[in-house]
Amino acid sequence: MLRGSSNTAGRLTMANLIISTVCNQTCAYCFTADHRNGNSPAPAFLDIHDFNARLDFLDRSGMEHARLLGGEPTLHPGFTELVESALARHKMIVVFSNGLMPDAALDCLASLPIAVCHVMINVNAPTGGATDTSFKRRRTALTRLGERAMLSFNIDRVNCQPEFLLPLIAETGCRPLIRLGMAQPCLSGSNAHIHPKQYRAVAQIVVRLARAASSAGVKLDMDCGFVRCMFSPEELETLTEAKADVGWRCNPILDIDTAGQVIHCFPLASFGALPLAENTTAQALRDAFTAAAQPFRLAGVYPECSNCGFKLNGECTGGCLAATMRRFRSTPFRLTVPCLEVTV
Amino acid sequence: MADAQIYACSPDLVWLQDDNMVLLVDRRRRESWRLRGTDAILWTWTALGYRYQAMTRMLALLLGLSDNTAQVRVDEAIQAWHVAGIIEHGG
Repeated sequence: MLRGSSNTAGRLTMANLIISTVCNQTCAYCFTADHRNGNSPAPAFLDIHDFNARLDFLDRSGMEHARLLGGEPTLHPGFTELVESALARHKMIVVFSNGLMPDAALDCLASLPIAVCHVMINVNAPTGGATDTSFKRRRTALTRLGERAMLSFNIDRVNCQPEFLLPLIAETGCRPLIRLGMAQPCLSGSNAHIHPKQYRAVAQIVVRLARAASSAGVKLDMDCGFVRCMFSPEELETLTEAKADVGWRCNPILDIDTAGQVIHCFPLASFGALPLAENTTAQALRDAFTAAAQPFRLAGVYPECSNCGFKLNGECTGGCLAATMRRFRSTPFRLTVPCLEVTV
Repeated sequence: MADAQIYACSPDLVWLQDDNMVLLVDRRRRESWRLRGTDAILWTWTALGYRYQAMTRMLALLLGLSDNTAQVRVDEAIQAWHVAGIIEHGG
């Protein structure tokens, strides 16, 4: 019997500020469902006083980016005021949006210099119907934002075809870069997500998109939760040739909600939260979450992970921690041991 | 026969079966233990609700041991779990 130990996760220098728990979409794969649209006791919108306290936190943590998250962050009624406040503190504005933003928010972002504004617009595959106004609105937002914007897409099923992203980039003039995610489960598993048994099929989607993207001069930036072994050596070579940013990461992101509670990341929202105190730094929060997660990090999304060379040498974290933790089970038991004489 | 000893595991304890081990994690204490070989087999049987007598008999059959030797192996495992704090006296 060995007492556990594990490599600590890599260091990141980011934290996301949740400024709205309200969203105007209901994506089945969304892992923020527990926080959205009144499902959380946290306020719907972050007020300006608390936002300035968040900026203080970024300052003392040495972070130059104000990463605004939701819900849909641009639905915040004082969105422009928040952006101006962050700019006054010399922060680069990074917005994670579904693209269905009010005109005032779009006007605000489109007026900012490209050097200080980065909008990641998450899109779902168009439904193709004449009434798919959401897709048209996203196209409009992307066109107005131009190189301030880049696309984001989440693979949430094994028959998805994300190739539609490439003509969208060409049509709108947004940055030739796609953030590619794999839908990860909340701990409850209540959202649509990719099961580890489906990762091989996802790998083929990623490689197919990487080939097409490379031909179109577009790069892929793979988000957390992918694992090294889901790709064959030939597929990895293809990704390298396509200059895709591949990584096998899973770290505390630090999402700070409107009530001032900090979580490891949305999929692990129910793993526990820490309060954002006046002197808290991002590094202290990250260290606390890393320590809390360490025992679970001995495992990975597959039964083979704990004995895998890629994981043992630190190349791969073993996949999404939420997916790993969903493998654990609780079976409280009582065992009655009779005091018997052993006959020798 | 003397009084029976009852053990229970903490409700904070979760576990999984990997290819090469059983991993136990106490969520509250943030401790983990890796069980291999006979320990891993016995843990799985225990967590599945098998009785002590059934486990000793199954272990004897599985490893080709006498019943007495199997009983010693089971007792040693239970004692080790108790010393490690994985299970506690449960009333």
